[in-house]
Amino acid sequence: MAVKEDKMEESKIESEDSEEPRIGVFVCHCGHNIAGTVDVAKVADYARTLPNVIKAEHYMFMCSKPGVQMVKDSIRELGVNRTVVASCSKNQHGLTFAKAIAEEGINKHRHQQVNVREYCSWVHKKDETKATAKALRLVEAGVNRARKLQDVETRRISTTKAALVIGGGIAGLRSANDLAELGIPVFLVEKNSTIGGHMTQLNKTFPTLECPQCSISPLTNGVANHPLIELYTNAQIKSVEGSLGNFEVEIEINPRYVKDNCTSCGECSLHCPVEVPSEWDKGMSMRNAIYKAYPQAIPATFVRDKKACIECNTCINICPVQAIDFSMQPETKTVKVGSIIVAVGYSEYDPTEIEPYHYGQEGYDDVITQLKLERMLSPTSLTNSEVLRPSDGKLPKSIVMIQCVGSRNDQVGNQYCTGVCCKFAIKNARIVKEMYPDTDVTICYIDIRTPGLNFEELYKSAQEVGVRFIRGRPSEIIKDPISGKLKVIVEDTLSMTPLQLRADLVVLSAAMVPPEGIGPLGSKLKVLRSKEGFLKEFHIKMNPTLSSKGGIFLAGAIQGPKDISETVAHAGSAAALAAAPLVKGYIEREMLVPTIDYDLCVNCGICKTICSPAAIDIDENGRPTVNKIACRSCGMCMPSCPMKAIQLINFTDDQLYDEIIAVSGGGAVCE
Amino acid sequence: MSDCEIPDEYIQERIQNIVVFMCNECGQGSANTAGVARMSYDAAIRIIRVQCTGQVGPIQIMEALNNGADAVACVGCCLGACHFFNGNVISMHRIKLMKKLFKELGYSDQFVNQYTSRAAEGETAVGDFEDIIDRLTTAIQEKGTIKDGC
Repeated sequence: MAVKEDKMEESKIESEDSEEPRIGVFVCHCGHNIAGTVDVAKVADYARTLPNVIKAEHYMFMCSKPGVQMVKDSIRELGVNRTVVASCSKNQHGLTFAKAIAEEGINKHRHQQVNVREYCSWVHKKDETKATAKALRLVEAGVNRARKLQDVETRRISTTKAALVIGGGIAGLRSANDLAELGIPVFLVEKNSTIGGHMTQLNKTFPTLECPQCSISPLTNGVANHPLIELYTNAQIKSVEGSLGNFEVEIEINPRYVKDNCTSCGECSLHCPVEVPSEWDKGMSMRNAIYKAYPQAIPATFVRDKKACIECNTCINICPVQAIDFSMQPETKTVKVGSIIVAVGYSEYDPTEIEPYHYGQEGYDDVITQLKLERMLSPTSLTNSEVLRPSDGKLPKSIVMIQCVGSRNDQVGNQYCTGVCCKFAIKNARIVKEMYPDTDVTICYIDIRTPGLNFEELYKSAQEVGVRFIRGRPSEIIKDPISGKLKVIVEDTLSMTPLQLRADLVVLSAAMVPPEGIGPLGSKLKVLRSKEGFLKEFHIKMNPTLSSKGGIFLAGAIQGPKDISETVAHAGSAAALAAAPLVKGYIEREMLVPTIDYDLCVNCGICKTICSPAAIDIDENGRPTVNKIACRSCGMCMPSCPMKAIQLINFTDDQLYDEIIAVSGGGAVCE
Repeated sequence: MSDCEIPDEYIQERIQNIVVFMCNECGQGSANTAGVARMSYDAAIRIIRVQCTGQVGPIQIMEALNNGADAVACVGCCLGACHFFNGNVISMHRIKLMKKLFKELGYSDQFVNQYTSRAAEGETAVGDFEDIIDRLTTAIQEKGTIKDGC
C-alpha cells in the first residue's frame, strides 16, 4: 500500500514539472489602505515583467465579488494555474482566494498570499518610496514562491469508534463516563485492583467539607455497570501502535485469582494468616494477602496478592462459592481505539529525601503526611476517626503542619507550587481544631494561596476556630534527647523571631508529583514530558488537554497539579475533544507533510529524534518513514537532515531559496 | 574596524535589507497585530513566512546573507508556548551555534538573532525589529557583518 502511494506521488510531481507555470498577480488597493502608501500600478507593472507571469492587475478591492471574479476569470480565460494576491494577511483573506481557485478546479495550495498591508503599507506610512520598493520585493518573492507550488491533497481518514482511558481515578472515570454517554465504547485500564483513585482515600473535600466517597460513588458504580465501558483492573499498557484515529493498544491484565462469581462475603480474608500494611490506607492499617482494598471498593471482587501469599490454600477451602483459583494466568488483550485519554493522576511526594524533616526515619513515627492524616480522620479508619500519635496511640496536644514540602523547593528540584496543599492543610487543620478545641494546631507556611470562590472563606473560618498561622519554612524537626518530644524549628518571618514549636504530631503537606511509572508509559505513548515530569500539553492556554501527539489527550493531574473540581473540568474537556473525531467518524487532513528522498537518505535517524509528535518511524529496513496522519507539518525535520533528503511539501529548501533570493534583493555576496 | 568611527548616516544607508523568518503562529500574528495597530518600523524589515522557526536552518540563513541580507532573524512563539512544542527552542540552539560560527570566523555575532513574540501584542514584534536594527548597528560598528568582508 505504502509503495503504491509513493509511486503515485512521484508520477504526480513529474506531471507538475512538465506543466508550465502560468501565474496571475493581483494587487489590491484596499481603498487607500495600500494604494495610499504603495504605488500599486508600479507594483503591477513590475510583476508583469517577471518570468511566467501571464497577467498582473491592480484593483480597488480584491476581496469583493468583482475582485474574486477577476481571479476566477483569469483562470478560465488565460489558463492561469497559480495565483498571487498582494493584499492583506493570509489569515484574513488568504482563504477567500484559495476557495475561489478551488471552485475553478485548481488546488487551493496553489494560491500564494502576499501581505502588503500589515507588513508594508500600514507600518511604513511615512516613506512611500521605501514602502513601494519593499512591496516590489515582496511581490517578487510571492511570484517566485508560487512558481513551484505543488498540489496538496486532502485525505479523509476514517476513525475507529472506541476510546481507551488509562487510569481509573476521578479524571479517568469522568472522561470514560462522558465518552460512553456519547455512545462511544470505552476501555478503562486501571493499574490497581479498584477504581476511584486518590479521591476515595480522602476524608472530606474542600471547600464544602463534603464526603468524597458519596460524591464519587455514583460515578464508580455508573462506570462499572455501564454497558459501553469495559473495565480492566490490575492491568497496564504493554504497547501502543498507530496514530490519530486508529491506535492499536496491547493491554496486559494480571489475574485477581478470584473469579467473578465472588460474593464478597469476606470469609477468605477473615481466615487468611498473612498480614501486610495496606497500600490504600497509606500503611495506617493492615490487610490480608487476599483482600478487598476497602469495603466500598469497586469492583467488589476480592483480589489475591501473589507476592504476599504463602499458598496455605485456606481461602480456597473456605470459599463458599469456590471462586478462588490460583491457576489463573496473566492475559494480553489487543484493542483498537480511535482516541486515548491519559488520566494516570499523581503521586504524593515522598519526603524522605528532605533530611532535616526525618520523615520515615526511626524514632520519628510522628512525622506523617497529609494523606496519612486524611486516612486517620476518615470514617473507615482503624483509629475510628480519631487523630492519634502513630508512636504511642495518644491524643496529640499540639499539631504542626508544614507547607510546601517538595513544592516551591529548588533543592529537591520542584519549582512549581502544587496549589492545593494550602487548601487541604487549612481544611484538615480546621477539622482537627473543631474536633479537639484544646489541641494547638499550627500551620507553618511560606505564602497562603487560596484563590477561587469559597477558599478565602475557608481560610478565614480556620483562623476563626483558632488555627495558628506562622509565616516561615521550618528548617528542621528535632527530637529532644531527654523528653523524646519533637520540636519544629522555624523563624516567624513576620515578627523576625526564631521559634521552637513543641509538636506531638507533625504533618507534612507533601507536593503532588508525577506518578510512578510515568516514564515507561510516556515512552510507549511517545508523548513529551515537561521538565517537572508531568506530560506536556499541546498549548498551555489554547489546548491544555491535547498531548504532544494527536489523538492522545490528558485528563487531570497528569498535566500538572490540580484539585478535584479542576480535574473534573479538565477530564470533561478531554472527553469532548477525544470524542469529536470518533462521533464524526472521520478526520480530514491536508497532506502538508514531508517527503523523504531515499536516494539521498543515509538512515541516520536524526529526523526521528527531532520530531515532537513522533510522526517519523524507522521501518524494518532501517529507513525513516513519515506517518502522514500524525505529522503536524512544522518542518522541524528539514534542517535536521544532513543530506537534505527530507523536504516539507511547499516549504522545500528549493522553494524557500527562491523566496529568500527575491526578498534579500538578489545580488550574491560570495560566489 | 573598531578603531575608526563610523558615521550614523553610513549605517542608515547600509541597513537596506533584513530577512526575518516568522513562524506561522505567534510570529505572524504579532506582525499582523502591529500592522493593524499602525505601529511603524524600519522598511528594511522583510518577513518570510515559515511553518515554525524550527524549520529555518543554517542553509536558509546563509542563503539570505549570501544574497544580500544585512541581518537575519527568526521570530517564534514565547518559550514554552511553541505551537509545535519546542521548535523555538531548537531554533534558538541553532542560532546560538551560528553566532559561535560567525564569531570564530571573525565577524560580529550580532546580526543573526532569535526572538519571541506574542500574537496579541504588536509591540513585541516591533520591539524585536528595533532590537534587530540596534544589534546590526553594533555589529557594523564593531567587527562587521559578513557583507563587510568576503
